[in-house]
Amino acid sequence: MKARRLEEVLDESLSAYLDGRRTIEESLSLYPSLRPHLEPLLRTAAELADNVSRSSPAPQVVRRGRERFLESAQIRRRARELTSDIPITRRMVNVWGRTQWGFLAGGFATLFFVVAFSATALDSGSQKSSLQAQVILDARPAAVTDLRQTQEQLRVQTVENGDISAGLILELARTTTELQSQVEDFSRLDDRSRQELERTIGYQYLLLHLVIDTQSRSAAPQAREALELTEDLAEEWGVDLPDLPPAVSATASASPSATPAGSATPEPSPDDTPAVTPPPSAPPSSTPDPPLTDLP
Amino acid sequence: MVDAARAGNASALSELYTLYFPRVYRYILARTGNTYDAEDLAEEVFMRVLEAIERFQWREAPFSAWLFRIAHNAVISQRRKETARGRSSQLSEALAVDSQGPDELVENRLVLGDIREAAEKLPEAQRQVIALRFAAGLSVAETARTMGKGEGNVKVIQHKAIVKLREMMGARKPQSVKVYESKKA
Repeated sequence: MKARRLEEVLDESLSAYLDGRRTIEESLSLYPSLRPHLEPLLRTAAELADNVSRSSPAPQVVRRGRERFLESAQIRRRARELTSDIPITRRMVNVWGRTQWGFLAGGFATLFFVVAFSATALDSGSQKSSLQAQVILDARPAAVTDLRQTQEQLRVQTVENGDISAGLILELARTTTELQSQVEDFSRLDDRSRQELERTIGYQYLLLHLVIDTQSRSAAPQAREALELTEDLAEEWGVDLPDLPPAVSATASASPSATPAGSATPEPSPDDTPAVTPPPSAPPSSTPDPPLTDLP
Repeated sequence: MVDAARAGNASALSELYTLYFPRVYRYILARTGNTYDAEDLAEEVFMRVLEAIERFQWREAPFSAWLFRIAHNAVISQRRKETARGRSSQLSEALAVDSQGPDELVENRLVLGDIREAAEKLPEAQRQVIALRFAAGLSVAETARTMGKGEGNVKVIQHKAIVKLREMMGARKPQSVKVYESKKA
């Protein structure tokens, strides 16, 4: 019973001390009968709390961390806006995969359309446009769907697991190349297909920046290569890539070779004042801060 | 603020970061004893927060309890990785407090080193309570929600932890003071 009371009084006095409501002495004077037991414990706890609370992260660590945090928030928001239709597509794919009859029916329907398109095209004497139509029909279930699935796996690994495998990025690059080879002439696709591919490539562009900025350096070289491939594809198709937050743009434009090798910990900035995140319209800073990719 | 952050409001997210980052950092420092790990892991915790904040629900737990559960999981995950790599953290060199003068710094390092060494010997639940109460600054109620225990239970664990720490640190303190005083001299 006494022990129980001591636990309660210790916590009550400790909470009062931590909240700044009472000093140790004031608490001890409130419980004179418990003083012999309470005092040593309360003083130990207070000493412990005082020492631990003195440890603070360096201001530049807080500043850089906050910048990265807000940049990631911006990228995620943009990516979400760009891919708002993906969950519906994925649900459809899942149902497709589970249902044998649906798969069979879909296979027959695809075959029917391919034959119908080919026949129509041959009738009109334009063999080239027939092949183009066939390419579009083949590309949707295969390359675009595969690419989106790989993108989703990469997103999950990036934001949830922390570590990403270089193999997954290589798979992303491979699927991107496959899509590129399937779509021979982007300008001849119908509006809906073009929009879908634009969104997919735009999302991939943001996702790869997120990977480069937030993930371990082991996968960064592959991610940079995949990013270059994505940018080349966007250029080839004439796709406008989405805007990046200012600091990420600065990182992306910096040459990877400009990064000193092996510098896992950035040099402290001379400016130790807490940072204010620059507005989106602000030009990239010219201070020699290390690229985000090199932060631990 | 949390609701605005959930909606993606940049200033609310920034405020949330400013408010909680030092507490998360201190909590992780108390658990790992390494400032570099504490910096890295605290950043990682906030990246996880960003990913999961849309799923956060007030009725399940207060925000602080939810946040420190994420921090706890990050510490456990880090510990598993370190165990797999066979690494042991060296606290005494790593504990740095930037806002203090050299004398204070030496004293603080020694005392923190003692505390850390003593806390290492506590059972996991007691270490967790000490880190949440003293480093993260959570109330007993918040600590209880974070750990999934009752408040009464947390008070008992806290009491036992302080008694043990007192016993262990009581034996060590004179040595620290002696070293500190010889360095000052």
